[in-house]
Amino acid sequence: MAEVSKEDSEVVTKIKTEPESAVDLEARILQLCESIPDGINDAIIQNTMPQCDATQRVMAVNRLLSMGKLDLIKIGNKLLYKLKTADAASNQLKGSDHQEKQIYQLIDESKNMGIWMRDIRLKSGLPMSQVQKTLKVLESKKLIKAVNCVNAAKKKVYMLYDVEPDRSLTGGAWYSNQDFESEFVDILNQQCFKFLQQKLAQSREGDLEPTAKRNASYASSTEIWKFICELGISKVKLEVEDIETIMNTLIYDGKVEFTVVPNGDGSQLKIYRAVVSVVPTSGFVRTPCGVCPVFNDCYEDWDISPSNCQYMNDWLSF
Amino acid sequence: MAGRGRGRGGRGVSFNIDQLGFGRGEALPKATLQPPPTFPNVTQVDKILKKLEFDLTDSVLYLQPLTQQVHPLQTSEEISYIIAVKQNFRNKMRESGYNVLAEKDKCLKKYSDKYQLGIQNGSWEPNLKILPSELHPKKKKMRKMVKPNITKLKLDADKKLKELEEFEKVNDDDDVEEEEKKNEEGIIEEEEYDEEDLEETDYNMTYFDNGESYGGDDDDDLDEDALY
Amino acid sequence: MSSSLNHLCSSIISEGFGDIAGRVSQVLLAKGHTSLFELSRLSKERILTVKKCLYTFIHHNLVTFKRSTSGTLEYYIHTDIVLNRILFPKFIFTAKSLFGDTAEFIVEELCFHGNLSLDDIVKNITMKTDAEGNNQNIKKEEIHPIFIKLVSEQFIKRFPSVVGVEDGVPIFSEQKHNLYFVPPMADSEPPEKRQKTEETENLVLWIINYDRFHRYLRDCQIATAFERRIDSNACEIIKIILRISETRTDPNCTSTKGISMIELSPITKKELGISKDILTQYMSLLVEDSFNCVIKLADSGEGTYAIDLPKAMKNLATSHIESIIQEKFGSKAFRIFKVLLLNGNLEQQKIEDCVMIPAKEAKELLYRMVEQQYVSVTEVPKTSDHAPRSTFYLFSVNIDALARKLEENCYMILGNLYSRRDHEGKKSKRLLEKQSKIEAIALQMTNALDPSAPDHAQKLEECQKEIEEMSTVGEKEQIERLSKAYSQLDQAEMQTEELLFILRQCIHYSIPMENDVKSKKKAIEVD
Repeated sequence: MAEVSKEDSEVVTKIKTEPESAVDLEARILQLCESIPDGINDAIIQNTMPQCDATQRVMAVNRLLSMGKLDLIKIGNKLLYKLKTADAASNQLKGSDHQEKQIYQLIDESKNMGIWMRDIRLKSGLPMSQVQKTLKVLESKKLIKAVNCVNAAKKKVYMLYDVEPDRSLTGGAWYSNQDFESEFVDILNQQCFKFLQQKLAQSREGDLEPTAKRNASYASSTEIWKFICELGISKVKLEVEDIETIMNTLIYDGKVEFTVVPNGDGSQLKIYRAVVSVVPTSGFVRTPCGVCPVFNDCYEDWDISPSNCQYMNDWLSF
Repeated sequence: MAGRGRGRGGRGVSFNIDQLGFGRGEALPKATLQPPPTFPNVTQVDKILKKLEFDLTDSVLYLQPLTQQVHPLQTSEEISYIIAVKQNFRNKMRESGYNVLAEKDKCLKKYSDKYQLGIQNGSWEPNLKILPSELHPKKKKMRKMVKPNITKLKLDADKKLKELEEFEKVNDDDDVEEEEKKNEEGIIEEEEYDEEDLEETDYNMTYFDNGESYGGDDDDDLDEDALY
Repeated sequence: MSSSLNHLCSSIISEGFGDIAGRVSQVLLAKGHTSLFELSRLSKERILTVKKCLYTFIHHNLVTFKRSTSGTLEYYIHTDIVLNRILFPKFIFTAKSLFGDTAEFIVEELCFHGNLSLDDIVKNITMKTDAEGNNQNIKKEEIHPIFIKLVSEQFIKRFPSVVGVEDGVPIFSEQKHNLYFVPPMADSEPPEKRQKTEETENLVLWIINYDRFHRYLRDCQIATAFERRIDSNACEIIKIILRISETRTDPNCTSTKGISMIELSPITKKELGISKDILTQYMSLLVEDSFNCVIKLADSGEGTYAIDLPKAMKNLATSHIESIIQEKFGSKAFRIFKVLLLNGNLEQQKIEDCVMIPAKEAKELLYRMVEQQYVSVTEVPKTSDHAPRSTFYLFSVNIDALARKLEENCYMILGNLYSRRDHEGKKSKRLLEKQSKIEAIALQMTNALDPSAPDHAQKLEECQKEIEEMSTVGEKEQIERLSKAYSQLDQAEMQTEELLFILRQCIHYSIPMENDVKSKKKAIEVD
């Protein structure tokens, strides 16, 4: 702080001529901190706000620090001011012990990906029981929350209370409250296929040359995305990537195939088309035996045999 | 090992139930206390499914066993033609001499026999050339039947003679072998009896030249020579 | 040899040659190489009956014989050839659709009798058409060229001629060069030579060339697949390629010889009216298609193309398996199956991520497929004690193994269908006997009528009425039901057979490929 006052002796007069309210100054410093999240030193404050004199700045900074809105960080021999996130939280942390602050810090750092309890323990070096207790306290204060991971049912991660969890944790558009919405996926799956099927039918009707005919049956993921958006069946906003995920399920359903073509701007475009299976329904399932639940127990002259088979009886009764 | 300890607690199983994929606190499936039905009733479950249509897709999973319906068979003109060919062929086979019947069946003459269709195929002569000698049937009385043919064939005497010689050889071998078998197996008694039987039946049948007449006739000639 | 295959084969034989033959064949199938006396002892049939069965089998090429080292003559039944009997109707239909009615008769006769000389074929056909009384009598002159066509297209081949007899066993010539040589027609020869040629002609026996029919049916399957994927023109182009390559490809070869655009384009133009430009487009479509069995070999000859038969059959088999999974386990399970098919070994977690199905449901479906052995599991333990906690379980799909499993299932299904048909027939035996009696009487009655008599029409009507009254309404209904049941069973049999055919082809191709690898390895070792 001593440094600060020494340096700025020349500008004192200027500032005096335009006195600013202390509150204004504090707000501006906070703004500045927000725009430079890595932290600011006194020189930066001085440069952006030359109208303030050293005492004013010192007073403002000290006030902010005492309010817990700013953090003072020492890097090398330089001091940095950094904005403390979640003001309310830090207010509530007031009066909490060191452990709570430390854990809160760790959770804060994990941002929207959250942090696993085990990692908290490892990073903080605190015993498990302590961590558990502290997490409970923080949770009850509504400072942090536990979020269930969609891809691992038992895995719980902690993050700040008002942070929106990452897509990879929630599963994106397909999950509501960690529940997989399979009906939604099914409907999208059907609609996408319908769209491609129509394209295929249209292409087959037209009197086109074979290559053109095939090309006409393709649709890019963007086209399909637009179609789905226009249908308005989704309450959630879907991205093109979401549609590509749906298209993958259709590929796995054997109903669609895709290929990649170069887009005009050098990027690659995924295009999809509906396909027909090479064989009609296999003859295997056209006999009762093909779908028989006791197929493996069926022997000549046994309790279950082709001659006394009830499924055959049903199948052969006219 | 740790898992084992925990598992022992409430449920009374000696392993950790998680490993089977059951979540903690999830209900385990009920114990099966009776054998499954011989034919799990497919039709009934199908009816239920039809009524409920889509809204129970989830629970369908838990209805054991699988409840898929049989798909209808494909039909087309081609298929029905092939089926007609198939059935026709099967009937023809059944009525033909290729249908190996027990001797008794044949001896029993039925009044309906004379109305039997396709009787023309009722008999056939094996082409002895491609058979090993132990399968050659001996036909003593057949001579009577085939004599007219012999006269016809005798037109080409030279050629016949040559083949007679050839077959004599075959039959000689045959006899030697028969001798051996008589000693070894002692079944010969039965065999002789069988052959009597065969002749009876063959005699009864109308003669039909289905193409093997050439070889067959030859053989009959030879049989005659070899035996007498 | 599996028991279900044995059961099926003996059912096929029972159907064709009667129950006794079926029982004898059971012993042959179960024992492998068996002597005549052994056969009689085990089947509890008299020697003479067994003999009769055996020579019937030999005549239909089902059984071969060989002297064993101990000197006894042993008989061996060939299941492959027995299975061909299911395909006979298809062979007959193929002949009809390719070469017309006469060819149909020829193939039918050969199927029916096993082997025949040309003379007998002609004799039987003319007799048959005479008996049927229709005016379209087929003359020998008409049969002969069709016959030659069938032989030159290799649908019919020579039965190996007997070159001598050793120890009571005929020796068959092993000449391969004249398999498809037809002796010149007797009538075209000068009269003095006629006697001689007739003799040779008569001695040559002909049999169906099963392999050629298989190849044709296989080609049809491949072409139809393309019809479903692209269009009928693509199907025809594939047919033409396969037809051309048929004559120049060694039957044992896995992929066809290359065909250039220069060769192909005039033919397609002539037969399909497709211009070269369009053909080029079709060819690129065929190559790019995900069915993935048309390969571009080279750019020479404006593009040289070939068809990878093993791949085609494997793809067909895969499609069938997929269809079965779809129907047996539902479309969601199919999605899981396909994920495994496309991605190889996967952990359960990964599968669940891919398929977008609630984890619990996905698990259920996956385990059900594992349970029924459609999906296999590999254990990859991290520790030596195989503790489940520290073990990876990788799920995968093995098409070759599945093809074998389903082949087995097909044998069983076909066997069941045969059993059931047999059962239906025996259940209504009395009724069927009565029916055939009625038919015979009806025929006799109508034959006895004099068509030239003035009151012919009236008498005919009376006759029909009388015949009509012979069976009761109930009986008629029963007969109706039975014939429907028969048709349904036959139809189901044919459609299962189609799958079996594809699977067998697929398996057939997967074996020589392994041999190829071995021979290549050997070649390297020798080097």
